[in-house]
Amino acid sequence: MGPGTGPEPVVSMEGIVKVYRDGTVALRGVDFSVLPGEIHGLLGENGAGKTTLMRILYGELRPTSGRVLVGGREASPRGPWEALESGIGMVHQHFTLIPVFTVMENLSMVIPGGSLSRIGDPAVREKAEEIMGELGLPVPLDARVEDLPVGIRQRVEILKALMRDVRVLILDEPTSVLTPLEVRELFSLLGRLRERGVTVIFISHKLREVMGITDRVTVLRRGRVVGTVRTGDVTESDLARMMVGREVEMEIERRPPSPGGVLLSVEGLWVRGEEGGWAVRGVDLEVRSGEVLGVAGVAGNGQRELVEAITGLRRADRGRVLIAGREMTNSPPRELYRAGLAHVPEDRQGVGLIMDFSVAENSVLGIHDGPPFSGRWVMRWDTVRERAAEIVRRFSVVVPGLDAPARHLSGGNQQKLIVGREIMKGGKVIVADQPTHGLDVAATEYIRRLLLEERDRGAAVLLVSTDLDEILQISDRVVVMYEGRIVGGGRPEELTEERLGLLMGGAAG
Amino acid sequence: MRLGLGSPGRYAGPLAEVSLSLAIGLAAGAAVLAGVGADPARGIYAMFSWALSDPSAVLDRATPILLTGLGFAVAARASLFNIGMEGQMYLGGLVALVVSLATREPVLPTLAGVAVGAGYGALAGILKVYRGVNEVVSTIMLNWIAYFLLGYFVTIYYPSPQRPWRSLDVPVTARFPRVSELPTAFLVAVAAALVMLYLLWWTSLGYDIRAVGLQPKAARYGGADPRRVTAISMALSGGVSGLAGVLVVLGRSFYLDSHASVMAGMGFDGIGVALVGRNHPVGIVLSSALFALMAVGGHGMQLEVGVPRELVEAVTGVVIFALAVPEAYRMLASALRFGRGAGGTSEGGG
Ligand SMILES: Nc1ncnc2c1ncn2[C@@H]1O[C@H](COP(=O)(O)OP(=O)(O)OP(=O)(O)O)[C@@H](O)[C@H]1O
Ligand SMILES: [Mg+2]
Repeated sequence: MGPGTGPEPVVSMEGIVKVYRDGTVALRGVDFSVLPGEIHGLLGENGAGKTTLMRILYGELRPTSGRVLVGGREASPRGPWEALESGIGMVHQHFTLIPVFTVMENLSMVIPGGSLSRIGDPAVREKAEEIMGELGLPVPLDARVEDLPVGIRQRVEILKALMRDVRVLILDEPTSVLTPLEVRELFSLLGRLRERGVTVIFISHKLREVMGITDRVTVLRRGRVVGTVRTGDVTESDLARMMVGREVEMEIERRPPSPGGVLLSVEGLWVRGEEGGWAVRGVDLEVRSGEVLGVAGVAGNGQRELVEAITGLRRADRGRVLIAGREMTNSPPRELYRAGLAHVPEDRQGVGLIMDFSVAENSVLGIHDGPPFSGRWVMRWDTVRERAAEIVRRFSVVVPGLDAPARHLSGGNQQKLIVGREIMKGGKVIVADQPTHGLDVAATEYIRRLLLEERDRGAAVLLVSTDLDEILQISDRVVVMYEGRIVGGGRPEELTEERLGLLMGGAAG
Repeated sequence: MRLGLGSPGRYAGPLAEVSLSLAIGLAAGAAVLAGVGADPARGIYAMFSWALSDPSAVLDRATPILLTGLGFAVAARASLFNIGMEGQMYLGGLVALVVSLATREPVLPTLAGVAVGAGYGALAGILKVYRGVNEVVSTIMLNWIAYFLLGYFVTIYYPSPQRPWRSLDVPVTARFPRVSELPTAFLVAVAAALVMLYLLWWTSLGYDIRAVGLQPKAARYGGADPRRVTAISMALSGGVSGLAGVLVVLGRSFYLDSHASVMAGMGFDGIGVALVGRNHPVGIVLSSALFALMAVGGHGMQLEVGVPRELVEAVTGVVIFALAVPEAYRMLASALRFGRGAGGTSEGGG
């Protein structure tokens, strides 16, 4: 379906301006429209306003000015229910399902006139099964959502949106939590939706994905539209340039490593997971000063538990953790930080930040207790604010102000704040778990570069990532985790993606 | 003046919210009055004019509930639901009385009352940390224990020879004086609010308390020890509640009776005071004054408009309810939001 000048847009937004209550101008007059049956990419740096624009389209936010047209008629939705009625559905950056409910129960609440009383209504099940069948979107309808893996939960989110016969489906960074295989499955689903005439708006920071699946792309920068292009007419670096406004280095130069003494060592570590079973089964690792060790693996193979055990957030049942030669097994986080550990946690909103604390308060989380940020008792807020301002400046974090709550930062800027804080600690060992999740190209390259700088400074970096590109780009050595064990590894030069893929899938050898 | 107090702009929202709640509450209260045929305007006017004609009575009434309000708030900031202010207050008052009989001056009795209140609060905290006892359950039981301890000591050890259902009087030299009409006990309570404000927003302990209350997982990552924070904030809560009892006994009643009727219920009032004051020391100072004003003015309404006491309480109850709803809602919502074992993968931002 070649989108040209012919077809009328399904939905268009005109002159959208959004000023948040705290005065942040998120959108400065955006015109945006999508055609029937296209996959339309929406790109932009962190904080460019993508989520804001889509939440306006979905009726969750009211624009300060501007209007939304559906099928040529003005229909600025006053709430998601109105958006749904005019055929616009959205899958959010974070999940919105009720975890203790089953899939069916979750679905029953969204159908027209839906309520808890519709639970068990055979019509709902029929409809769900019809969609699943037509689209090849298998979902266990009677399972409880919290028992489902992330990839399946996402399918449920999509199914939930499709229950309402949407003509336009908005997906806000749907791939950042998915494994490569799940991404492929998602894309073939999107392809089938397109064949049926559904328009998909796809937000992602991964240019390769955008190039691979979209028909057209709109790029936002600082609340304005830079342009809308046909994907076929541009290259990845064109898009990157549009987003950032300058040339972006896609390649990172890496100086040869000069490893020194062992700074982090993990010996025979066994850790239990949430359900009490072994999540980490006897892992040995060593990271030297001046090297990056990449831990690859499909999400859910014990990486999270490994990281939590090293960083003092989960008990290790057996084995030892040493930092700079000192036995630190099961030490509380504060002691680990004093011993020189920095930790960029995977869950930035649940663990890495206190969402209702200000940027300033968050900029010293973990090191607030003690000099230079506090005396024996009293916080030195001036020093804290200096540090916060320094992080904001040095790592170009876009914030409304140092007193704004972290909640008001865009996802990417939240991550930059965390990474900046941890790097500023100047630690000996840096554990970075998915450090570039949800970050735009420029920020991603920047953070990878920073990690390499830390390495060159002499830090030992443990990089845990499900993103193979990331692992291969900046690791000096790679290990692959599968079902709680290290199943192989090597130097990135010696490893092909195929080989890694096989290891990650558990194919031994 | 930032962070805790925030920029002036930060107050615009809360102020608007409080004004709106107050307006709704007063309107509903007026409707209650009108419903029984009383003149609402006269009733409400009587309430305020009566209270304002006797400011020192209002301040006396505000003193203990300001402190129990602080007590509730400091625990609530650590997401603990302390309803043991009542018992902590009783013990504080009892200890202050007993010590004052010996020392005949106010300082040592005050410190002793605060210390015992703190210990009593910490007990509930420690039971929670090491035995997993829910603080709501333990503090309810501790309230009863304190109540009977108080009755026991008052009637067995320190009964007044003339009136055996009440205690000996606090020596005159151990009483908190009044400077012209102004009760110094109230100033002590306000000072406690300032200390609490400082502690929560200008110390690293306060940072930890607020962090644990907002996001326990992130607080742990940030190096706070949730168990220590729980015990300490319960102790702080008990300490200020103990001070409430001290100030009632040394500042206003100068005796205790076997049913603690000079302070009964003022611990529980702290919950409402804290909710209306948004669990913030400055707000609590203001809301305790409002509570006291309505309590004192309620007499005025009773006398001048001739409505029964129950109705006066219904009217003030309606006003308080309207004021407390927003904060109560927020506490409940955040308890639900983070109570659900935030597991899973939460991704992305605003
Ligand atoms: N509730 C809010 N209050 C105030 N400012 C906000 C709020 N939500 C977002 N912002 C600000 O609006 C701007 C746009 O944010 P938005 O979340 O739309 O960005 P985004 O393009 O989705 O970024 P990301 O890729 O990081 O998710 C940012 O500067 C952000 O800080
Ligand atoms: Mg976003």
